[in-house]
Amino acid sequence: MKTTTHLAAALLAGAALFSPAHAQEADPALTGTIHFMLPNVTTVRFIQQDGPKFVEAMAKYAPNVKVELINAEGSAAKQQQQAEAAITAGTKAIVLVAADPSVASGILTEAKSANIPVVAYEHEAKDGPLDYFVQFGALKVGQAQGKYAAEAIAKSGAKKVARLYGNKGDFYTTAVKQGQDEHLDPMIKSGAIEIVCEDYTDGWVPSAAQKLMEQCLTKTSDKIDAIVASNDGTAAGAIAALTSQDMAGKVPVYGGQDANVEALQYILLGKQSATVLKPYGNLADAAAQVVVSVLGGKTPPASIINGEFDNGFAKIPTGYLDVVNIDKSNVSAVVDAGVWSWADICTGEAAAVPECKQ
Amino acid sequence: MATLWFVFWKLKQQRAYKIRAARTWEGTVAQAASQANVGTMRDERSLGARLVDALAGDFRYAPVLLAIVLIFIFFAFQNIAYISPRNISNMVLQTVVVGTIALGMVPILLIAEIDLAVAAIGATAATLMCVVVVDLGMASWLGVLSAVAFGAFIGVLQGAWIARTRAPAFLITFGVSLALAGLQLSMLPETGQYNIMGTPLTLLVGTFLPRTFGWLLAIVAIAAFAVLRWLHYRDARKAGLDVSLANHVGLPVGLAAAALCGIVVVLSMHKGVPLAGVIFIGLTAIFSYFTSSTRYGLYLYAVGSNASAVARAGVSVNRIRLMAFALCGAFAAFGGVLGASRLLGVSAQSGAGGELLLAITAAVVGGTSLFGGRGSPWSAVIGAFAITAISNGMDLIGYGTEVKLATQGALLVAATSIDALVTRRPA
Repeated sequence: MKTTTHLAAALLAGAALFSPAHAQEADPALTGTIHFMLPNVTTVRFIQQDGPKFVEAMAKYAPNVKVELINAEGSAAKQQQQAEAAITAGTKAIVLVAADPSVASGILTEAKSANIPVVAYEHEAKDGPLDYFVQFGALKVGQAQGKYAAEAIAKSGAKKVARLYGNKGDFYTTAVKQGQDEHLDPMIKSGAIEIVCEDYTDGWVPSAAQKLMEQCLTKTSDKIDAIVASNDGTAAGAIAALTSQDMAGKVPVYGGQDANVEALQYILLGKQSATVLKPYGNLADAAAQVVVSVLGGKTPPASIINGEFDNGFAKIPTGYLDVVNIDKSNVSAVVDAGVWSWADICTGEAAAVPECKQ
Repeated sequence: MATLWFVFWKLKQQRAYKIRAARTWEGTVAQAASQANVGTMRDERSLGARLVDALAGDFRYAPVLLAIVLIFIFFAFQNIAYISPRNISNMVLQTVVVGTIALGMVPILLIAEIDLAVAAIGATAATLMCVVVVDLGMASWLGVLSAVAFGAFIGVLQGAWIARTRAPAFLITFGVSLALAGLQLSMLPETGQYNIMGTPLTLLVGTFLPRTFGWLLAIVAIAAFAVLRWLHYRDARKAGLDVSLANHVGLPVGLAAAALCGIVVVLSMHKGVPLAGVIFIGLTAIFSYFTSSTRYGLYLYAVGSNASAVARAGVSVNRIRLMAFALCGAFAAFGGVLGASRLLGVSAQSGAGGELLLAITAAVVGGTSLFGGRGSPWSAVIGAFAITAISNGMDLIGYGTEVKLATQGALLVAATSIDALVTRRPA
């Protein structure tokens, strides 16, 4: 698996990075319906960002192909039924964000026996035949978080570190933690830092993270130097706990991901240190190009499919997309990527920061 | 038992049974009736049966209060920070959100129904509040008011629908919760969340009363409670009931005063009494007065014990159902508002933190029956505090997710089983 984050390149390239490479020509000869299967209603990015952006990209590359968006509402069983219905309805291809990565093999097997190509999107789909996979990669996100946190902690001399993980047992939680560990474990082993509290956040719910951090602060009598969360939601919970002790902005909070508007506001206000941006438009575009290639009987461009992923069944040709670290210095990269506008970000307290007054 | 109780209810005048009800501390009609009927046979029954009966009556808070004491001892021995003023302050704030939703669950459980939409109502109402305050730029109090009104409105709709169709409430309300989740998603901006940091909305949970003001409130509360108890006592004497000043006024007022003073002392050592805690207790006190001393409040118990008897007595059962669901919706909405104020924002994950199950658990742990007709608003306070004390301790010590889930499950099973045991006792 590719491990570099191309952080420097991303920072330098700016807007140019976010325009899709090797854009394909529109192919009006392709027809039929394809299905984009979303996992749940709580991970808002899939509904608000990935879904619409995929539809947009498909309209560009294959204007006569209809895209159906269906949401499994968090249930792997429901997703399987939806996939069966799509296959029965004669879908041409399935783009699958697995509701539960470890039990998606039923869908994969049924699609295979009906000769329907499946492209896994962002979430891995384990133990079954899969045509392609496009993802930012949880491991890669964790590595980006860990690297940023490790460097900042080394620079600041922080010693006592609290860690908040995601939902215990999730594939995503484990991969993010593993990525962070690559950078934090050496510091723990050398004694440079000490983990004073660590816990899993039930369902990644911010209010659960808030309670965990309140208890961590109580246990340590506020003596923590840094917090490493696992996404923007858990970071927001930690910041809410810090706020009630008047410590928000005094203890750095690392380990964000998703570039939520709230997180960007906290970054501008100095309450959160960093987040990881996944330019959703790039992933949606890459998925659309892969689907169009498959529908046209071609091999997807090598610029997109740049690696492999072992899903337990086979080595799946995989496209890894770059993630970008965002801190106070480059919030504009989020705007350039077309994820949010300044008008989205500059609301409430954040409207008063210099970045919002330009 | 229910039939005996109905006869009793028919025979007595409104005022007379109010006084009877006042014999038990919180005054549930059903209990007064059951005690009046079984009183003479008490000595012939086994110790177990008498124990179960005591749990249903005057001593119904005893097990959970004892449990809280044991929980405190257990966790304090593992980490002394557990009983630090700061952690007690944490516990109070952590209790408030679940407790407020549990408060709404009480009238629903009293009429032997269930509302599985409370978490969704809370989340959607909080989102509406953000729309009003953040998007429309209106005053914060207007936002809170519209949230609570929305919750009550959803409650009325649910209550009306259930009353009319007599469809099982657990499925209707579950359906409503799904629909509300959809509504909430459509109300959220494209960014998927509202951030309310820096708005006055955060003051609801973020405010601590100045120490002198906290003490003043405590003294006023104790005085008010003492006056109420004394009025009850006077009425009971006038009605010719055998009650003593010590047992009817002295003991409850003394215990309440000691508990309240203790908690104010501890909270004052940290940041002071939190405003949200005062609002929560205030709401509970008002609600408790409503359920124990007003006609409609008592009807809640009556409907839960024997709905058809109430209907035959000429009271509109549907109206009581409507009222219970409206109250539940309003409390759930306010719980959602407090949750948003605490977390400093609202997102699609609001209400996904197990609030629904915790609220039901809290009410049942506190002694409100799932089978209707037995319980009190104070059960929401005590129950929510008990389960918060446990989860707070487990977070503090750093138990694994496995232990936390198993404990939550065991707690629900235990509380429900005790409830069933007490409900099925021979009358």
